[in-house]
Amino acid sequence: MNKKLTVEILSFMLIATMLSFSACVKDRCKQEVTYTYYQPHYKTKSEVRENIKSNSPRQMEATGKIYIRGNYIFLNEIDKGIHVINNSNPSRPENVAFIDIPGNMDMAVKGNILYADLYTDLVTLDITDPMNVKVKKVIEGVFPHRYWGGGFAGPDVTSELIVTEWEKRDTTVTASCDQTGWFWGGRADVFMSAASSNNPGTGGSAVPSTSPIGAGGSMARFTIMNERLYTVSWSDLDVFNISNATDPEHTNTINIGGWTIETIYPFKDKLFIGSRAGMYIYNVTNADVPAPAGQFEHARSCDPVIADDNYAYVTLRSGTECEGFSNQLEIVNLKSNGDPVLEKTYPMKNPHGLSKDGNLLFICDGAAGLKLYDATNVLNLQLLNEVNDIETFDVIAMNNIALVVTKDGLYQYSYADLPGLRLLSKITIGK
Amino acid sequence: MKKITVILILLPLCIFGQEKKTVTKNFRSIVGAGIAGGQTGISPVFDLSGGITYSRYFTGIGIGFDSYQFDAFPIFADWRVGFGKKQLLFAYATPGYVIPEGHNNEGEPSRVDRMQGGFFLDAGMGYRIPVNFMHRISFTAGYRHKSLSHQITYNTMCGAVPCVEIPPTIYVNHYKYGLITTKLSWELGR
Repeated sequence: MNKKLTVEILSFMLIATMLSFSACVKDRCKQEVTYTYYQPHYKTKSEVRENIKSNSPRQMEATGKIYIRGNYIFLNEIDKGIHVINNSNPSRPENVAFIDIPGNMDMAVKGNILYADLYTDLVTLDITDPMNVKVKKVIEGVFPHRYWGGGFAGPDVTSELIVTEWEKRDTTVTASCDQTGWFWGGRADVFMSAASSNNPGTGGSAVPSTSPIGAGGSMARFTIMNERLYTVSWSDLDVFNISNATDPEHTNTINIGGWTIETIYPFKDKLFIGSRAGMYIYNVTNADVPAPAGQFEHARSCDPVIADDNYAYVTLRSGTECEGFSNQLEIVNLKSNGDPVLEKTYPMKNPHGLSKDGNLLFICDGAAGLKLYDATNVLNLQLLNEVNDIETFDVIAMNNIALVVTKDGLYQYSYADLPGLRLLSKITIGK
Repeated sequence: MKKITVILILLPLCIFGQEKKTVTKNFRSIVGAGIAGGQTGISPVFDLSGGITYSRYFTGIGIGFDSYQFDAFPIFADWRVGFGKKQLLFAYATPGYVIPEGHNNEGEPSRVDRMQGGFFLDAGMGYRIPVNFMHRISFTAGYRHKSLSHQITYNTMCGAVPCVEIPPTIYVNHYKYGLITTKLSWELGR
C-alpha cells in the first residue's frame, strides 16, 4: 500500500469516525438528591398562647437548655417547650408536665416567674405551681434575630401564624446537575434542616440554690442579675427590667457585634459573654446600660464561659459550626491590668459546657465524658474523676449534685464523697 | 499499577523466548497515547494492553488513563480485528470499567466526596504501519464513552448542644461522557 493511499484511508477513517459519533459527543449529567426536609405545621397566635400551660408530660426527644429552680428542673425541648421535672428526690426525678412554647430555646427563672422565648417574643410565666403555670405577659418581637429551627429563615413577625411542629419527610429527586445550592422542596416554608438549635447557650457556675434566681447551665443565653433579665442574640445584648417580675420591660439593646455571640454568664457585677471570637466582659454597675469592661480574644471556636472572682474558664471546641480547630480549656486571669490575659491552657477532646462549685470544676468533654477537676490551683488542675461512657453537653453543679445533660439522657451525679461520682438517676432522652 | 504496566510490557519478551515456530498464537502488547475531545475540552489519554493474536484477531486486556473531566483509570478487554491481506486496517473495541482516581474526602466531616466508577468503552478504526516483523505503529480514531458517579454527602453538623440529629443530604451526580479519541500506538509482538 503506497503512502498516498495510506493517508487517504486514514483521513477517511478519521472523518468517518468523527461524523459517525459527533452526535454522541456530549457531556451528560443527571443528579439524584436524597434529602430530608421539614414541613411546618401552623397554629394561630391565640391558639398557641392558650396552650402555654402545664400540659401532660412528654417524652424528651431533643433537649436544649436546662434550668434549676428549687426542687424543679426546667428542661427545654428545642423549639417546642419546656419539660417540668420534679427533682425533690434526685434519685427519682419525675417528669411531671410539659409547657408548650413553640420556638422556645432559652429560659431564666426569678422567684416564681419564668421568662422564655417564643421565637421572637418573650413570654412571662407564673410557675408558682409548676403543675399549673400561667402566662402573665408576652412582649412581641423583642428577639428579631431569632430564626426558625436550624436558622434557615426567620419567621414573619407580622404573621398571625406560628410554627408549632415540623413534619419530617425524606425524599429523593432527580434533577439537572446545573442545580446548585440546597433543595428547598420548591416551597418557601419548607426547611432542609431539622429544628435544631443554632443558638448556643450555656450556663456557668451555679448560683446558690438559696438565691431566688434559678441556676442555668453554662450554655445559657438568658440570665438574671438582680432586677434585670439579660439576653443575648447573635449580636445583641438585650436588657429587661424585671423589678416587677410579672411585667418585664424591655429597656435597652446593646449591639455587641460580631454575629457570633453564644452564651452569657453572670458573676457579681459583671456579665461574661462568650462568642466564637472571644469573651466579652460587661460591667453592669448601671443595670440598664451594661458597659464594656474587657475583652479576651481567642481562636475562632465555640466557647461557653464561666467565671469566679479571679478567673474566667473558657472551653473552646472545634466543629463545623464552631469553625475553629481548638479543643481546650483556657483559664483567663481577670485580675490583670487592662484586658484579661490567658493564664493557662489545658488540652481537651471536645469540651462543651462547664460548671464550678467552689474549687471543683466540672467539664463536659463531649464524647470523652464528664471530667471533674480540683481547681484549687488553676495553674495545675488535678483530675479527680471522670465518667467516660456518656457523651456530655452541659452541666450544672450545685449542692453536691451535678446535673449533666448528655446525648442520651439527663444524669444526676452525687459528688458528696469526693473523688467519687455516684450516679443518682437518669432520665432517658429520645424515643 | 506500575507492576501491571511492567508485566504487560515485558510479557512478550518472555513469551518470545519460549516460542516455537509452529505456534500461530502470539503475544502482543500495545502502548498508546492520544487525546480525547468532548463537549468541554480535550484531555490526554493513555492505554496499555497485552494479549494474544490469532489469525486476524487480537484479544487482550489493558489499563489506561483518561483525564477528561475526572482523572480515571479504565480497565478493559481489548478486542481487535484486522481487514485485508496484511491486516493494516483494523477495528477495535475496548469495553470495560473505569475506576476514578481517589477522590474521596474523608477528612472534612461536613462534606464527604466519593467517586464511583462505571462503564467504559473505546471503539473505532485504526491503521497499522509496520516497522519490522516485531514492531508496528498504529493510528486509531474512535468513540470513547466514560461513565462515572460523584457522590457528595453533606452532613449537618451540630451547632449547639444537645443536637437534633439531621440526616445527611446526598447528591449523586451521574456523568456520562461521549468523546472522540485519536491515538498513536506502538505495537510490540508478531
